[in-house]
Amino acid sequence: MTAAEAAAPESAAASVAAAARLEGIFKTYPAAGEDVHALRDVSLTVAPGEIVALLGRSGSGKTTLLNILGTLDRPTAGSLSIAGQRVDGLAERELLKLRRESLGFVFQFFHLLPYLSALENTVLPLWLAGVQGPAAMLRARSLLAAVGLADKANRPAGRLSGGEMQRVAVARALVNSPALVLADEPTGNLDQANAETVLDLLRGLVRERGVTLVLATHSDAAARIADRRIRLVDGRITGID
Amino acid sequence: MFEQVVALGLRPLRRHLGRTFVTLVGVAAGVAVSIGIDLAAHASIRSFSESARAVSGRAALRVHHRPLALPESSLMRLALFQDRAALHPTLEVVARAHASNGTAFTILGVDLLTDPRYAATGAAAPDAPPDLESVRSIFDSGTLLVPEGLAERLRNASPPGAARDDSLSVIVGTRRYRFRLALVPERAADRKLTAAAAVAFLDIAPFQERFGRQGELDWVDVEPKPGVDREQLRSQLAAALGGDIRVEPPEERALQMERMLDSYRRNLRALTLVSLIVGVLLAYNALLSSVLQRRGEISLLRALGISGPLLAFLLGLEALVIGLAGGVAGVLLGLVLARGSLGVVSRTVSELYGRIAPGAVTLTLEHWIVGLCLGLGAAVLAAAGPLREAMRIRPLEFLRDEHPGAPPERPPWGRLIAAALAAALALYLLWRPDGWGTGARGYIGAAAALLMGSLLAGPFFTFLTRLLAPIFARISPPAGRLAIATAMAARRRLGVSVAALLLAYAIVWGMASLVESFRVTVDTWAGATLRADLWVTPQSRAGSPTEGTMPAAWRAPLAALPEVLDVDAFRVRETLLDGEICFLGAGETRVLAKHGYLPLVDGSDPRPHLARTAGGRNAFISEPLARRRHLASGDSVALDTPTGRHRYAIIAVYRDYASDRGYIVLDRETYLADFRDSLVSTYALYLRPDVTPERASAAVSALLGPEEFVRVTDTKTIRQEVRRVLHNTFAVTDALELVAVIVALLSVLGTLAALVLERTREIGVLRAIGASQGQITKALLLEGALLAAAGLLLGALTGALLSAVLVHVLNRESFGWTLTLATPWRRTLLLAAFLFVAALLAAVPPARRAASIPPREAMSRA
Amino acid sequence: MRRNAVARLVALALLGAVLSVVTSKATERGATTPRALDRDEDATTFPRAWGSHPGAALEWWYVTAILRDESGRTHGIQWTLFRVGLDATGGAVGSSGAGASAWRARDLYFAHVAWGDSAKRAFTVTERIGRSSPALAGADTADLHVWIGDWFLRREVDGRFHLRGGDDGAAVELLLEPSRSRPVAWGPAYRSSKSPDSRFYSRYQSDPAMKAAGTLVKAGEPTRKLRGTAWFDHEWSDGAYDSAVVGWDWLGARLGDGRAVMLYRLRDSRGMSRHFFGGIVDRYGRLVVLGPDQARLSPLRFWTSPRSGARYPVAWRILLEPEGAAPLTLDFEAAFDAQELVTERSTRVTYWEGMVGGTAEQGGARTRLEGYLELTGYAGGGVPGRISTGARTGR
Repeated sequence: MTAAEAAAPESAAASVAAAARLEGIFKTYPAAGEDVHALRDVSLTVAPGEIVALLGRSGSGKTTLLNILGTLDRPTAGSLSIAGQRVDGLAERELLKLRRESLGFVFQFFHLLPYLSALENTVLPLWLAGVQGPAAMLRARSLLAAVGLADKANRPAGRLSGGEMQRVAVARALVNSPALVLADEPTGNLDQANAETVLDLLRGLVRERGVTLVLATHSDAAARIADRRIRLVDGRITGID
Repeated sequence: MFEQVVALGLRPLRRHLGRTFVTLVGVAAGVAVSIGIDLAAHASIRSFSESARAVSGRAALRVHHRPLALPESSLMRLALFQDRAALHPTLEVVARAHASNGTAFTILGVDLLTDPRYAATGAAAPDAPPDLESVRSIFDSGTLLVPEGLAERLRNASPPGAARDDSLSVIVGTRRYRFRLALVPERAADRKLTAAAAVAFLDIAPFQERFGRQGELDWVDVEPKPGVDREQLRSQLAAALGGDIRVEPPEERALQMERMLDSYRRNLRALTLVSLIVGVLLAYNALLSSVLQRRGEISLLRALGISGPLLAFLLGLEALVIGLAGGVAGVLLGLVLARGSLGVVSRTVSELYGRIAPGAVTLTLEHWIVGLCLGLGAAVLAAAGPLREAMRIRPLEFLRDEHPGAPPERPPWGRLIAAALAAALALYLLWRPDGWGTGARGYIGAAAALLMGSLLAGPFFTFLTRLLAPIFARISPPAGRLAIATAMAARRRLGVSVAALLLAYAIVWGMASLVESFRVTVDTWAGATLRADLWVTPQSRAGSPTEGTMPAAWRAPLAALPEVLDVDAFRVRETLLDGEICFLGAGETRVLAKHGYLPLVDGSDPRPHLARTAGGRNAFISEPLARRRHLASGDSVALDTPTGRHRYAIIAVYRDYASDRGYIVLDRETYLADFRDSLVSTYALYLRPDVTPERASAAVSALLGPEEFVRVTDTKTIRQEVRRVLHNTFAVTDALELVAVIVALLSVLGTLAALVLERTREIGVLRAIGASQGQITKALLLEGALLAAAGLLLGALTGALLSAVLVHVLNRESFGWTLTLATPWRRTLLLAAFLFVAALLAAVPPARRAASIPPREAMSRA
Repeated sequence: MRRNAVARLVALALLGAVLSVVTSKATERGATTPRALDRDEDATTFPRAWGSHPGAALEWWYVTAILRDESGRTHGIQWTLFRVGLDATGGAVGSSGAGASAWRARDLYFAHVAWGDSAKRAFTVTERIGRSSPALAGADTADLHVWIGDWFLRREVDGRFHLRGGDDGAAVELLLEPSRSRPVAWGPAYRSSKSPDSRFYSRYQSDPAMKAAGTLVKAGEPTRKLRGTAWFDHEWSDGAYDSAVVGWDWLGARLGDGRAVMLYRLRDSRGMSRHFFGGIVDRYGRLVVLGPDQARLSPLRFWTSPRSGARYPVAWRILLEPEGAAPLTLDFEAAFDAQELVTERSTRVTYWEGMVGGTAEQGGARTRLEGYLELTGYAGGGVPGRISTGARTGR
């Protein structure tokens, strides 16, 4: 079964607007000598509210796929829709709007701004999107509370522990009520206990809010929270379960 | 192993070419200004020595009675020493070629028959004797022997209409003289030298006759025969001559001149050091940036077990290369700068201290050594902080957190206390400008003020950022908040840039205020002092007021003009006060008391003092002299005169901004009696109330006739002249200000560029979570604005303190003038605006570049 | 040295120029104008006559000495100072009178010092120039005192003459004791005729046999004490001369019997004699004058200078036939040949002046002869003749 065929049964859900739909995505990086094919003909539909795990070894293309989903990278070929909207071909400004309104990110290395407080880090996407005032702060606070860090809201992110940082990152990813959250190895830099806490939080929060989550991981623990697990080898989908 | 380490150490230089370049420019500019200004000053001052050398030839001793003429009769006693030494009697006058504003050169009156000096400029004996007719004319009163190099220079400077024959028209004093020209052949290599030394020769007999110096000499050069001990001869000569006639090495005069120029050179040097400091800050910034950027690499090296010294070497290598390259570039740049500024410096020196011809700018080994040391020193100083930073990086630190951490939130008490101490020191010096020590108070004060500013730079930046945070957040919440946050994060780095900017601005503020204070004070002073309506001076005078004289016989006809109310015949010459050159003035105090004014330092009415001066051995002295020699009214000064050594009681100290060398002013009656010199340097005319200066000027010109080359100037023009001289005096400060500003801007640019580079990944994250390019650019601009605002505000504060120190301490100490502190607000504010905009503009290119990197790419960058 | 060379060059060329002016003016005026030179009392009153005569355009003081050091080696010393008056002829150069500088060149001074070492056949010349000035060079008018720098010749209070000269290489200082109370006069009132018609003449005084003692210091050698005899000449004129004369031969010699012989012959360009004078003075000061028909001068040997190319007669036989006495034959030659003074880089005045020695024979009695021979006008032709003649007119 090809990757395309593997994705095909999901077309049943296509009647409802998919949270994300990829069709025939190729991503090729020009390199000296021979081009690197990071993704080869990947098609995938993610249903709203679904949790999908992308599994594969390092270099299998899962981060690339995640970046394309997050509009941080453009595919070489193929089409991509997010929340029913065609994304390929959109201008940078429209992509920015999409990211502000519909996407949330959690990174392996947290990528908080260390000199901002936990609260400020959380509220940052709202600020950047032009949402200000008490409402934004209130929302950020409630999310911090939801990840259990209400008491550390004013602590600079640089002085939080790794687990705490990633929890802040989770709060930040959800603060703008995105339709789709993309998490790249969210537990890759955490010990087991912290990893489990973060995963539990992530799953709980997305389920609770009906948010779609795509996470790239090579950890079985992380994959366990997913509804579907998609395996990538050399840029191709080799299996779904 | 070593090669790898070297390669590892030097890699960042290559990888960040832009930063390397900016750093190099900073260090090089600092070195260049230091070397360049010193070279220019040196070349200017050296032309004194060059002339002295050309004039003294091989003489080891000089017999003179400066500032008085040496009577020819002293040769009777000197003649007894002819078995031990050759004697070369000499006279000297400054002449201008072609016109009263032409090239100035010295004519030496020597015995052309026996004196070897006129050929000492390098003349080689021609293969055949000159034809008899041309030699005959040497004794003739009309033949001037001019070394080829000088002749060429005079020819090049001749006016287009001037006849290009073998004669030369010169102005000496108020008269035009025509001389036949005979060239002294010389080697091509010597021509430049003789052109600079600017000495021509006339036989002593026609010299005395044409310039009215019969019976007098200016000095006798003594050339000891082989085997004669110079010091023994010197003491024997001194004993034989007795009295006040001095026997000194001929360099003595050049040395005196150089001592006099020392304060000027010292001031320049202090100012040049400042640009070096700014350069150090720039390099510091770049090196710190390099260390921070390589945190991961360093921490990995630590983990791999690199030893401390090796790491220090690795990182120091970068500084070393920057220091060496900056030093070399700085020396070369300095040479260019010196050539460019030589004219300005020479003009300043000429106007302050008397005529000089600019010497050649030549790099010596010493300059290379000094330049490299300055470059290396700057780099080492700059590297110390970053190096310490690097040594603190723990192994494998990068695995935990790749981002440079924010500094701990601890009030910088140490810095604040140090800054307070520095400020207190500066204020103490302001309070007690004459309190203690000598010579260095001004520098200490200035250094304290600048130190205060530098120490406060970091804390003040933090303070300002916190202060502005709410405002920024309100104006532009995302970008503003981001800017505040990142500024706080990078406040140490930004603090360095703030320091660079504030130093540059403070220096400009201080120097501009000093100049403005001079301008305002001198304007006021000139208004009060220059009460005469017309001034008659020899047209050939350009620099020193001692140049050129007029006969006393003009006084009566001038006074008899119906337009003229009164005349003050004023004489200025050099004198020695305990071996130090200063000006001796002699004026008609009676006339001055009636019509003029002499602003006294104690503010009292000068008239009773002036009246008291007439007729007795009394003197007024100028403020700079009083300060330098610690003299006050009631003291006295002893002067050598042709009638012996006399003491003159000091009646009062008066303000004078015309010369920092100092004036002793006597009543003309006393002067005539004691000095037996009736010549006049300036006739000051007081006109009847209904007479316009133009009419009186025409009357004076008509009276003296066309053959007298005098300049009749009205007071307005004199004041402009005073201002012009001041302007020229400070012309070089403009250049220094410019360099300081450029270096500071480079520093701002460098810092921001480095910060952006360091934040590339962070910017990528921000883009990912929804920051627009505009927001990112704006945040960086706001950060630049914060930096500029902090630098300029604190710079203004520091500048105000610095200007007070410069005006009240340094100036007073170096020149001895009392100035009223004045700040050129327009200029300083305009500059602030310019710097602010420039700092913002400096932030734009890196900001734009950073914002345009695709987020994914940015995030994947180390 | 290079620099000095330039200065000297200028000076000597200048001297030549001045002299040509001086002499031509004097020649033009001839004997018609009353001259300072005509005043006898300035020549006959001593010590005044030893001093300078500013009215005369040309004047020189001349000492030639033959001396022996402790080891018996012979040294010849020539010390000459010329004064060239510029004012005397109405101010050849520049202005004078009221307001004139003391340096205004009324006089130029010009000195040669030469020493020869006959054992080593070494000959050295130094020169010096000066001008009228306050104290640095001059000539006293009241008594003998002429000097340029530290070269001087003066009469000390004890009546002895004192001279000094030399340079860094060698310096000589001598005290000379006059052999008589007044110098020998070669003519009435010290007149010395320079042409057959006596239209041109000088004033000429000599002391042919001054007892000399002094020191010679040469660089790097011990000081030598010298003793011997010196010939003193002092001569001044207005510079006028017979323009056909290009050179002369002059001899001043002492004979072993105490007599002294002085003779000169002025030559024209063809080498023909234009004028001759000879005088023999005995130890009592009695003078016998010889005319051109009482002398026969025969050069015996010539020496060609490798430097100048001039061919000098350096050995002579001279037959003198004084009235009422046996003929006197003088046989002499140069102590050594190379005693030429070459100044070709400056004035181009090149002449031979050196020690000679030989015998004198009269009526079968032979006696020693020693003295100085001067040969001028042999080197080159053209301009130098004029300058050199000018410098040496009237000898």
